[in-house]
Amino acid sequence: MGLAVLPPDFEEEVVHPVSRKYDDYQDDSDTSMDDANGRPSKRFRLSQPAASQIVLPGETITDDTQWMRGHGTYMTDSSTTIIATLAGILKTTNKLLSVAPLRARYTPEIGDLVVGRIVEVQKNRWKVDVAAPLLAQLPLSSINLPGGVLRRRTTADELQMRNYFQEGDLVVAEVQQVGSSDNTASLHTRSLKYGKLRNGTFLAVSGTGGGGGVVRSRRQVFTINSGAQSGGDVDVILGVNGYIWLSKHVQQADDQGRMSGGVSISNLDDVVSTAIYSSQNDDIGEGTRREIARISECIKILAEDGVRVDEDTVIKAYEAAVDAEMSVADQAGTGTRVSEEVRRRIVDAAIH
Amino acid sequence: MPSLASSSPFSPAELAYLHTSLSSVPPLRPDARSLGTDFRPLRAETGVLPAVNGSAHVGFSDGREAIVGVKLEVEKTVERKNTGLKYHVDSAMDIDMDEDERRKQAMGKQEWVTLTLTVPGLRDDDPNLAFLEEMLREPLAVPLSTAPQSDNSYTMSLQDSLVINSRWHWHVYVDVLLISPNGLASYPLPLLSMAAHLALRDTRIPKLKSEGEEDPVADDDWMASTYLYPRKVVTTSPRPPVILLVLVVGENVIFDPSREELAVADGIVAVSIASSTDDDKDCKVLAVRMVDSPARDTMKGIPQSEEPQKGVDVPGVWRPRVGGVKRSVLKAVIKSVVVDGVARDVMSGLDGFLNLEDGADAGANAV
Repeated sequence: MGLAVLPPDFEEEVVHPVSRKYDDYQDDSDTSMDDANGRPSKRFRLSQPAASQIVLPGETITDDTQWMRGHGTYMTDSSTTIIATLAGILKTTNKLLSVAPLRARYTPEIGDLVVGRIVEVQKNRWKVDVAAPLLAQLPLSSINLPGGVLRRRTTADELQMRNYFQEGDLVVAEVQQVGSSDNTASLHTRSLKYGKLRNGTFLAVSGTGGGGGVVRSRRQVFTINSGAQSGGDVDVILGVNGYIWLSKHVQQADDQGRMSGGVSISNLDDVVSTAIYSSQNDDIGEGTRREIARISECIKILAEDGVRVDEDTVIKAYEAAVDAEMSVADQAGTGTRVSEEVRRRIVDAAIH
Repeated sequence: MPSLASSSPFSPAELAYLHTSLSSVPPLRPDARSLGTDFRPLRAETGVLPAVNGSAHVGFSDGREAIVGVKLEVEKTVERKNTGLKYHVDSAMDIDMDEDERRKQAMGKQEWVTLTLTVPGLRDDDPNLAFLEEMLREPLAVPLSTAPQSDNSYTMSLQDSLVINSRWHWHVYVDVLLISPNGLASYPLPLLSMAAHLALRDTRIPKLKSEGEEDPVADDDWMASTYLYPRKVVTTSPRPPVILLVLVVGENVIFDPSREELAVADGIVAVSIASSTDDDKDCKVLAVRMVDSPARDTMKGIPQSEEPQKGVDVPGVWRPRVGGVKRSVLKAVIKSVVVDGVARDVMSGLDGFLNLEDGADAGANAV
């Protein structure tokens, strides 16, 4: 209740890295990176305490010849000066200098599970936003059409492409191919695991590349059991590109798969119906909705604090949030928002 | 009325989910806020800019930030041309002539308050921008003193306090810069109005060495300057207005909506409030405006079964909203703002922040 207006967090005093390893070898020409005096004295805190040094594109890192240039750096042919090409944290591995970007766009790789949003319907393909530098494409030939896999794609299908996916729709898909020249991803949804998303809510954190965010892991799709909170199970789809879908767990898909002995080319046409392209939500209980909102907050907190998001951290963070809510409810009765204390506990639980 | 340009569309399934969640009682908000009246905390600081009379920097937790600078300039007062008409109206209202004369002298004009809004990447003549600008400026320039008050509780509006003498006045320039990752999509009206509010309360008027009808000469001593709005606040002291964005979904009234919540609004209402001059009320409503809901231009959902009958709602399928708010719901909006004390909470939150900052300043000076 009410509005809380807080003064800004002051950034920790910038420690000038006098004892930084490669500083010992520098000469005077390399002053640009220590010149922190021009910065405003107070500003909002970055996502993580800036204990390490941040370089900007074009900034000279060093001109000492003993250093090798790594990712995110550049060196002209004529000189020995190493220049940063990314805005990020300077890292040294033995004699290798590299810059880890603060945030990066997703680079598609074959086999990645991604969540994407349709932005354009074209003649025989959809253009999908997957947080990559370029839009991914989803050809009409790479989706399951009602009526079976061996059906020819006709012009009739092209005319009713919006019946399958329309602008704004969310899909979960797999990267089938990556263009050799420009790294455009080509997606496919030819499995019952993939397709249109419904019964839930979407959130975006940064994908692989930046500091926190979703990382490639063993399982990108899992179910959180929130039975104790009177909510049903919640399905979590962590797209490698940082797009996340949280939805009510639907039993049906699994059962059908089990009955018919798994999905294969031979029985695909029986299972695929027009129903998979509807955007009608099932009846979702309030408990489930509340848990979905809670998990979404947990993931946002993890991403903001630069913690990687995977099955392990999400489940731990969610459990911590539930515990914290219970203890807060015991004390005050009104735990309106995720407080700083709860936030800290969530992050702690996820890291350890 | 311009509609909100949404940067990325939502899928019909998402919209249906959000709408059902928000219309349940109590509303289940996507960011786990438990009440419709919950505000997200915001970060603020005042006095950030060097060469202005007052400034503020406000940041929302979703990454939007606004920087406001307030600049005062001395300007020559142009004589009113249509005085004849004015007198005619006044005499028709049958007000005592002396009283009228005295008030007339102290009256400011709307044009003395200028507000500009800058959003990187948007043209100056963008209709959304112009609309927002006017919406922010309008409540500032409301003449509060039109209703005759008893002498002790007589308060002046912003423009009336700008009068120096009959020939000179101050001109207030409020410049707002919005830094937002998604432009105007998450309708930044409350952020901008709170930033402007804090900047105006930080604004100081230089002390004048001239007196009466002399040409104004300002005192060089900045410490001698006075605040445009008095810093010592009691409940009835004048404060700059604040605009609240209120969302209506079903029967629910929701404050401080996030971008997701805005996307499924049945109606969006902007309520500008000011601290009341009456002792028994905390706040009063200056203006109520309807804002077009972005839910109007969305794609409709596809139902599972084939026969979608005209005009029949299938539960769980998104249907674009047509806009319009019921009278009873609008009444509920005003009631929760004024009677249930949301306006009071917002004002006291802003007061509390300024007190905190004053305390910090005093502490810093003492050291």
